[in-house]
Amino acid sequence: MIKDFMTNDHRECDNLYAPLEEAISKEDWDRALELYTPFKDAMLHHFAMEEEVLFPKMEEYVGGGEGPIYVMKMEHSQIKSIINSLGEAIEAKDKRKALGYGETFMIMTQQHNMKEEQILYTMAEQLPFDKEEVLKEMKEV
Amino acid sequence: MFKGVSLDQAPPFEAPLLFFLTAPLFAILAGAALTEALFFQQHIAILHLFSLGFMLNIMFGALLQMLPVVIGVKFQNPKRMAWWVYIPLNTGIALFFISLYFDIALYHPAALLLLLSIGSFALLTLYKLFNAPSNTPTLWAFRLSLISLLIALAMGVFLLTTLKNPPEIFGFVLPMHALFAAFGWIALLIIGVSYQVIPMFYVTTEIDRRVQYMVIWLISGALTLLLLALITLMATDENIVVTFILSATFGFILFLLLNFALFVYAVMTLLRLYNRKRSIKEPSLGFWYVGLFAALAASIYPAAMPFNHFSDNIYAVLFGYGFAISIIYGMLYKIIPFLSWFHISSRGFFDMPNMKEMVDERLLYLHLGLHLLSFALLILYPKAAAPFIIAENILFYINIKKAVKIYFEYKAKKSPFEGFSRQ
Repeated sequence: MIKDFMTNDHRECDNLYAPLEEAISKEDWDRALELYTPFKDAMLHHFAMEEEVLFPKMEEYVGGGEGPIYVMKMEHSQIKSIINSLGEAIEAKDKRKALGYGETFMIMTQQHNMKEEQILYTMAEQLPFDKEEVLKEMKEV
Repeated sequence: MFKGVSLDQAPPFEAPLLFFLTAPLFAILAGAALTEALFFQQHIAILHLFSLGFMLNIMFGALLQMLPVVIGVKFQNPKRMAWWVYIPLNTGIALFFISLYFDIALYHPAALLLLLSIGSFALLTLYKLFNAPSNTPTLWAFRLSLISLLIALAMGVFLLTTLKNPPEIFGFVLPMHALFAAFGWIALLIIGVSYQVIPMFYVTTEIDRRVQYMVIWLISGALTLLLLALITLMATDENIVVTFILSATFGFILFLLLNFALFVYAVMTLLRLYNRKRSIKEPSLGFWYVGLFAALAASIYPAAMPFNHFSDNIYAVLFGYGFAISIIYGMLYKIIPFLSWFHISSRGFFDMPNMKEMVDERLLYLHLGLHLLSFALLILYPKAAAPFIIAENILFYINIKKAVKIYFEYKAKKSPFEGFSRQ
């Protein structure tokens, strides 16, 4: 339930990124700026669902510290920093830099998503908390 | 419930890098050896420089890197483990090459080293794969790939140690060894990787899960039948000529079945790449296209050729050089700059170059061109391919030099996190 919902949300974010990259490669900067905001919002919203609801819930059972959830949060901050650099490159109309950060964002995010989809969400599904309730709370973020 | 599962940061870059940087050396050696090769045994030696020297080194490096990331299994002390596998593996490959190419009796030490290094790594990895927390087609492809690798290894050791005094069964084991290595180990591994990375890296739809599993089980099923046939053959004492004709017919049918699975995989993946949402064109994508079209060509080749015109050499080039090696280069050009960036970033730096700034895309395209040229020449006139094989692998080193250099430069710097980080 949580796994499917969050995996789909990953794909939605990918789908928002693809046309943004296309606009950058065509140097259509107005369109790129227009597409950048909803893309960034979707990414930040996804992180917020995890960091505000899912992760704290999971930490009640698996503990915090320097475990898997800590690593996921670290990667979130790495991804946020690339998204910001991407935004700056778009504003500066620097195609080479923007595509470079885009590619870095993409690979960084995909390997991060893999970890979540293969391991973390599977873990969440198996923990003894009310999945529907947590899902509802996540959707409210 | 999740004992042994870790989402820790990737293992130190040095562990996979050791294997990634060694592999092209064997390809360069293969290029050099190709110019002087005359006999069948020498061609087999060169083939193994590509399969063991190039592909297996890359696979070991990639598995060390990927298993923690994709499956959440962790190796204790990856750097030490890397060296423990690396030394016997590469000494074994070198001895194997010397013994076959120069016909020097080093077969037994070569076989022993390969058996120990490949066997222990594959068994350990398999154990971890069977304890993974979730089940996906990729995971099954990896498990079956490693099982096939172990079977191909056992057959290979048998072939190597009986080479000078071959028993009757030698001629049956030889093609089976090749099929287990090609379809079982290499194809399943690449298929498993691509199920995972194509949708993610290029934003494509996933191949229907039933089709994903069908391809995997078709390959494993056909190989199992082949193995059973071999065992039956060993157990019965029939007329050798009758047995040979029967097994050749049966073997050819199963060979077609294996190629059918490869065909389905190649067509499905090509269609997904063609319809990808991420429209940007880049060199890695070029390598994927070359690899998948070569897989398609290989899969059609046996059915399209009249039986007596089928060339093992052309098939091996289409499959090995065209399909497997092209895709490997494509992946390495993403993995190496990314890992360099990732490890630096994980230590808290922000000012390092991004992935695209670590490589010169024009030189990557030049590599793609050289690769296509050596691929084509290997089919048409193999000896002429030698300088281009050497050139493309030297270019590979040039292309990844900056990414590796930047990693080590930043490694020497003090982390901005220092003092409050766990690094």
